[in-house]
Amino acid sequence: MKMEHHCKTQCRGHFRHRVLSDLKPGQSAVICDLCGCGGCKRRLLELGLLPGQEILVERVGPFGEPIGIKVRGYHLSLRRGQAQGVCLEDDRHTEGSAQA
Amino acid sequence: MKTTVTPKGRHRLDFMKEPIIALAGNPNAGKTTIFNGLTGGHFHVGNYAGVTVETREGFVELGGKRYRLVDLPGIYSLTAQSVEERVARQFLMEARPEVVLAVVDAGNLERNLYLVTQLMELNLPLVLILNMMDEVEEKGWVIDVDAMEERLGFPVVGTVGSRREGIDAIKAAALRATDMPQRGEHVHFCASLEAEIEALLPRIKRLENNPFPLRAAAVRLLEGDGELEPQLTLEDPQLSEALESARSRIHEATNHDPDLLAADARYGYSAGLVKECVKKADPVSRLDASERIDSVLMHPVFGLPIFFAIMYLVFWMTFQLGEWPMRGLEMMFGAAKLGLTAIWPEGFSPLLLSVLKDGVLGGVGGVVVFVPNIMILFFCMSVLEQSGYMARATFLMDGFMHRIGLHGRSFIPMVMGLGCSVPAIMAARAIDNPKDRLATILSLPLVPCGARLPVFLLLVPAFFAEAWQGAVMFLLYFTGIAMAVLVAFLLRRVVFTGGLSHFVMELPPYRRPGWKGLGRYTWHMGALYLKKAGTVILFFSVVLWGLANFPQVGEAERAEIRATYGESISPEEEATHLARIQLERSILGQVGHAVEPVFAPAGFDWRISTAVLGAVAAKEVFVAQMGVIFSIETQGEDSDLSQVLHESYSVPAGFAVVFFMLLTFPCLSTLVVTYKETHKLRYPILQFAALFGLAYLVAVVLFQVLSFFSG
Ligand SMILES: Nc1nc2c(ncn2[C@@H]2O[C@H](COP(=O)(O)OP(=O)(O)OP(=O)(O)O)[C@@H](O)[C@H]2O)c(=O)[nH]1
Ligand SMILES: [Mg+2]
Repeated sequence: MKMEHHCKTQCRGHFRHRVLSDLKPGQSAVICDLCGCGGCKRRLLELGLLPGQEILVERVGPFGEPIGIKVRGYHLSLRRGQAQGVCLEDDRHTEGSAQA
Repeated sequence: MKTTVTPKGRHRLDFMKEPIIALAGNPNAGKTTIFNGLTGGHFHVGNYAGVTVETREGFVELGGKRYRLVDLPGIYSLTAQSVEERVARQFLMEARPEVVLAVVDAGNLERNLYLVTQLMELNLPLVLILNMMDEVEEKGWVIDVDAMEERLGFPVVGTVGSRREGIDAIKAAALRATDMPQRGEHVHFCASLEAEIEALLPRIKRLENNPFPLRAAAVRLLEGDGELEPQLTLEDPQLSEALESARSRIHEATNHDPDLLAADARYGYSAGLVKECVKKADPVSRLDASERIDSVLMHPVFGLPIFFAIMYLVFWMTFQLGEWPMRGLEMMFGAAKLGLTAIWPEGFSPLLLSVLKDGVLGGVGGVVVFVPNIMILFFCMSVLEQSGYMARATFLMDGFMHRIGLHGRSFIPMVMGLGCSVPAIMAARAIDNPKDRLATILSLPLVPCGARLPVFLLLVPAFFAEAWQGAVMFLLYFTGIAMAVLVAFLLRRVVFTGGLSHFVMELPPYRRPGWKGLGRYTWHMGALYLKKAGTVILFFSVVLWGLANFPQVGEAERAEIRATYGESISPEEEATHLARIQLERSILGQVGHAVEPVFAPAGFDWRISTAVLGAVAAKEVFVAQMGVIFSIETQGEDSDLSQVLHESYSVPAGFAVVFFMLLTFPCLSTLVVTYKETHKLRYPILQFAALFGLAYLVAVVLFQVLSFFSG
């Protein structure tokens, strides 16, 4: 439980960046860093969510969760808590139909 | 390597027998499909991550030599998080296969090659299998297989597993890999990471319990490996500290953690390889077919209603379409009973006639008639699995699962549980949080499995008017599933609390189910059901028949009847009374009467009480037993068991029985698999006791309340 809390807050606290869970369906952005607890961050790294990578939010599940994204040409879904550990680069091409 | 999983202990003993070839790769890359192609096997495949959860073995002949081919659960990396991933990692490390066939989804190369960069560090002969080449072609991409082989230094082959194309090429490549000199191609990390790796090597070299090659071990330790580090620290107590300071040196130099740096280098390598060897079609911004289907099926508003409609359709087909062949079979068994009596030689062993008619046809027949419904159910489930919709349904339900505190992956076992609890409990291996997994395993038997279908199909028409039957069926399924969710929720909140529940899941493209495979699978499930009917159910039917017919009544009872009803009683009436007395005074009757007081508050008479106890062996035994008892009682005349039941029991009693059978204790196989998966005797015992208690309570309350209202 404590870890989950840690996992959620780190990104915002440290960098004051936008995070993946802030994006709306159709929006895309570039990852700038990943934070959060070991296992949770590790899995995302393995799946190719790395700094510099562009991601597109495709849809959000009916209960506000999970978040469905497209990254490196494939589709992935993750929960809000994890998406909060994915920090995004500011500004530039936020809106738009750019494919991840 | 000490882990809590022992998928199959016998690997350890069998290592020396034949050389091993292992299939490794990302989940859903087509490993099992390739395995089936190489061995001629028919193991279950499905279009979502985590279908295979245990190692499977078969044999292949290569160059006149026999190899054991092992299919492993899919993994995203060698860092294991869930049980099935640990199974795969442990196998690769301990069995040290002769060749590793790395299966990748060629349409999703960048991600799939990440694992391959890790496999390359294991210094095992490798073959890269680019599967799903048909989808690559469809996209208009061209992969230069030769260039890739040149770059990697080990054989690369393109295949279409689902059409069994490229199987011979795999065999040739595997042979080539065994005598190809290893070039030791590997990923180069950034300077500060490489420096720390170099510094660690001499230290690791001294350790004896390190299952990895040196360089691989060093990288894993720096990245952080939850299994390797504690294991090596036992030998070298200062190792953890050394690693910690190495990590902080790296962080200082680069401002990043080593795990991120390593992943970055690996993805850099894989992206470079793709760039060099794959010619992608011009990037079109239109949606591909899967994305277009998803915009409907995963619609934020209509997605869930569509899901429920699909599930409704599955059950409509199971009940309604299954009804006609079922009636046909029922008539056949009825006719067989009459025919048997008609041709039976007068005076020839009536006891043998009875065991055939009442025991075999009455008991086994009662179960066999439902085989069409079972096959339809499994067919539909398989279509859901193979098309890729299962992953979508999981997506749609995940928000709900999270709210009740469950892992998103718990959903797939729960859907599979509608078929059979045993594979569903195994499928729970894919849940990476052990507490979520336990809560799921323990609550799964509440999901109404396929074996409860015959029970419902027998009881519901017996106790409820035609117009109500559909609603009652719905209520039954709803109650079962709701109970399972509720129990899982409570377990998670009260007993197995804590632990992270994060959940990432890949959504594969939709794929057309292979009709041949579907047909084979459906037939296989039907055959399994028939086999059960022909073995377990047959055995119990005959035993029950015996218990219900001995000790035999005779002249004394006949005299008794005459004394009560007078000498003028007709032979038919006398036979009826005699049959009833026979049942009452048999061993079964006596046992039944002994336990009757226990079940009396739920409105069960001695016949139902014994049938309920018989269901411990398998749920269908309930049906078989009712068949045997009533076949004896009606002397095999009435073939419609539902009708007989209808005349024998009140509606409140009917409600109580149906709900008891819905919630009742899991069958033996479920208890055994629960024990195997948890390694603790207390869990199956808990399951048994708790579910029995719950079912009993619900049945008593239902019966008492309904009796009260119906006067
Ligand atoms: N189009 C296409 N589909 C394929 C091919 N090979 C396999 N499939 C399908 O891909 C899906 C996944 O296949 P599996 O063999 O179950 O994959 P796996 O790697 O064993 O998956 P896990 O056991 O979950 O790790 C199934 O629906 C197969 O029918 C192929 O070459 N082309
Ligand atoms: Mg598989």
